[in-house]
Amino acid sequence: MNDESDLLATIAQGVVHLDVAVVRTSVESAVREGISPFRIVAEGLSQGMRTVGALFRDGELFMPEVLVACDTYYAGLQLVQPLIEKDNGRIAKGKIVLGTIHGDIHTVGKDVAIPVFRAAGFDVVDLGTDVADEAFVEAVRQHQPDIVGLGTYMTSTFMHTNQTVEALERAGLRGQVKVICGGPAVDVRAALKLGADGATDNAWEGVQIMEAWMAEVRE
Amino acid sequence: MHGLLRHFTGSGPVLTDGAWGTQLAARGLPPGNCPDAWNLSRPDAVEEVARAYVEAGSQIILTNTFRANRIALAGTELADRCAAINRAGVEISRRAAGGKAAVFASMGPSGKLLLTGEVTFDELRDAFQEQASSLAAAGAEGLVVETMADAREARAAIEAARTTGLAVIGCMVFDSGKLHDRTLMGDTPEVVARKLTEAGADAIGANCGQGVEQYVEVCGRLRDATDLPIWIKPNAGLPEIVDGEVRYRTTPADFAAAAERLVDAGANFVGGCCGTNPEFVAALRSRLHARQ
Repeated sequence: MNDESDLLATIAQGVVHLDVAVVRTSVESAVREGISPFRIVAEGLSQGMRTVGALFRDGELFMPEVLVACDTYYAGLQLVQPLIEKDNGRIAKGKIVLGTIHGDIHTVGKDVAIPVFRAAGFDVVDLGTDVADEAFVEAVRQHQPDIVGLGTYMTSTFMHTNQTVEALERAGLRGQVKVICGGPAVDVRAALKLGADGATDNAWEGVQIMEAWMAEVRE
Repeated sequence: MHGLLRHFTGSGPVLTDGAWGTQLAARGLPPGNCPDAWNLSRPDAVEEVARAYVEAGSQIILTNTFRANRIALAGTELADRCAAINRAGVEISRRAAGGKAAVFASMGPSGKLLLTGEVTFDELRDAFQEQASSLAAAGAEGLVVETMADAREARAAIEAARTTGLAVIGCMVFDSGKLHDRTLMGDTPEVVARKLTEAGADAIGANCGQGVEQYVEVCGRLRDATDLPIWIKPNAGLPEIVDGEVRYRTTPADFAAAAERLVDAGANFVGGCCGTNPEFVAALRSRLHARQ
């Protein structure tokens, strides 16, 4: 393993071990070494969050640790964010308007997914929780996203997906966006039946799905 | 032990009720809509659910007030109607009970996380205090703090509920960890027993999150960790989505058979949560009756 990948692995481990000091010093070292800010985020910080997500799914970590890991992630992200914003050559992979679906007031899933999407290069507009169908419609008009993300923690609110999709259809906006459902309660086949274009309970898988959609658009 | 709970538990396991949200959904509540709103707009449908549980043999029924605290309803059109929703919820259940069952009122979580600072302990306690006072004033006989993921939030609700002088039950969801025996925050049944007892609960327990089989061990560990009565309401298994509809595969007979093991493990109050219905309560009643 070379120095760069050692450093990126140290950043990722720092996130997993909830060690803000290690994350800060290793991110600063990575910047000094000239590693690109996008690699620091994608292969360092976000890789750590990906491991945290897997450990949470496997029952090795609990919500308090996940939330501290998020703080640790953001502590590192703060150091590279100005460099990313200075990078004029950056073109966002796509724009996502995202919120927790009507009736669902859980924030955590969305708050963990958004940094992953941003780290992967997407612009994300966060509409918050318990987002009314009309608010999604208005946000699509205002922000002109490529993708609408519907987060949900509960099976009962996941079943509301078709109403949000129908609202987009009624507004004549459905054709210009892809719709993805996310959260522990989602089911891919049901999501498609409810009018979405995709679904996943894994933010990283969500990135892959959305990258594939954006590649289609570019073609 | 609180006098009312002593009265109930004196003659063996006590049968509570089953799910409300999924029962209201079956009567046309659109997905994502707040079930509690129906206390004001469709009281007939809510009373039908409550009455069905009484007829199935529930000795205690709850109320359709799970989400009716001002933090959970903030920003919705129901935000300033919490008191009316809570009052109506108790009145509906009392009408349905008709003296044949006791009415314990449901108090669910705020949906906000203390850990992230999006709500404070005092804000939670104030909101639960307001809800508990409305429920007590309307004639609830007990208060059930349920489906809690964070023991600190449960503490805020239990402390608020205790000020009414009613019997207070505190229940957490155990669905996390490798063995699914921890809360979302990582607390074991033993830790939960200690924390909820310190908070002043008159009975403690578990509800939602898992099926009945999975709650047998949790129930036994709670039993070993406390002298308080134990209240358990598992789901009818875990929800699956089949052809675009939510389904729970556990049958009433399977649920009732497995629920006997809960009683063996020390449960004093048994009932069901998501996916269960009056058929589950009736099946459970037959099983419990056959034991006596």
